Amino acid sequence: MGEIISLPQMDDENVMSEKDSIRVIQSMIAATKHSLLQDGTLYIYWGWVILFCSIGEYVLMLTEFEHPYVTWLVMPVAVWRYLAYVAKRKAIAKVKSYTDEFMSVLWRAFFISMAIILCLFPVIGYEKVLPLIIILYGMGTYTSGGVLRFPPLIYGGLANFPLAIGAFFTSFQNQLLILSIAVSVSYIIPGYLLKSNFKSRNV
Amino acid sequence: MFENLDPLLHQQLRLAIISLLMTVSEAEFTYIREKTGATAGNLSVQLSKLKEANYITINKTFKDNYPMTLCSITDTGKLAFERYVTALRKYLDLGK
Repeated sequence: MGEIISLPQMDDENVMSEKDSIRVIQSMIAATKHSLLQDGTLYIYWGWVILFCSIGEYVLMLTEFEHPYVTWLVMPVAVWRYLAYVAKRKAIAKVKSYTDEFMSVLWRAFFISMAIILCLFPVIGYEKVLPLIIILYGMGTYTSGGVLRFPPLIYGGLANFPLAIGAFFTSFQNQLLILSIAVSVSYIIPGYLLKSNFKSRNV
Repeated sequence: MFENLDPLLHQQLRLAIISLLMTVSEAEFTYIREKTGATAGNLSVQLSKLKEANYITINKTFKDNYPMTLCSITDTGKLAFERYVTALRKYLDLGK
């Protein structure tokens, strides 16, 4: 429920002191400070999905399987489940925060950008796709971390940028490993920390 | 003593409502009641007063066939809140 600050009875029509006014304002700001939608779940979810797909493809390439990219076939299902989850959470939410609105726009832009890169990979060249996507991951999580003022997301996001640079100079197979590291530091670890932080604030 | 403070905002529940709505783009009636701890009746009365002054908008709609009341602050309300806080700060500075 967030901070609990003792307040004069809300139904009381008695005159407030100036200190009471400040306490009322501060208590309401504190009460609405943390968005219910930013509990780390989506970072954890996407982190594990991408980790599974990237490591899976890497392993299949090592075994010289003919179609190692099959692991990415889970993505349509993953996207569908994600959209259903977000729609459900938004439907039951009793409040729309500015943070949630910003996050919606940010991640929508992220998905559109990623879709463009994936659609144009024959033009871009497949060896450039993953580094570009890692840059997008960095942008998304770094920005999210800044808005939420959550350092693990900020630093995790920042870590993606040198990883992306390194990915440009290595083979596609190694890029899969770099991608798995990128999502681990920018999605999975910060996601669990955010979830833990959310739980401790809402006990 | 408080002649520069907006009397409409210088009431505990109305100030709490406006403060809450300053931080979110919109909130349901039940959410506001939960956060302010006010009774439903008194909350309705105070919301109406704020709406009459054009400080907030109230949108009555339905969700899953249940009535839902959504509140959000107007530009007038934001300006009034900012003026209130400015006046409050001046009063606090005078009191030092």
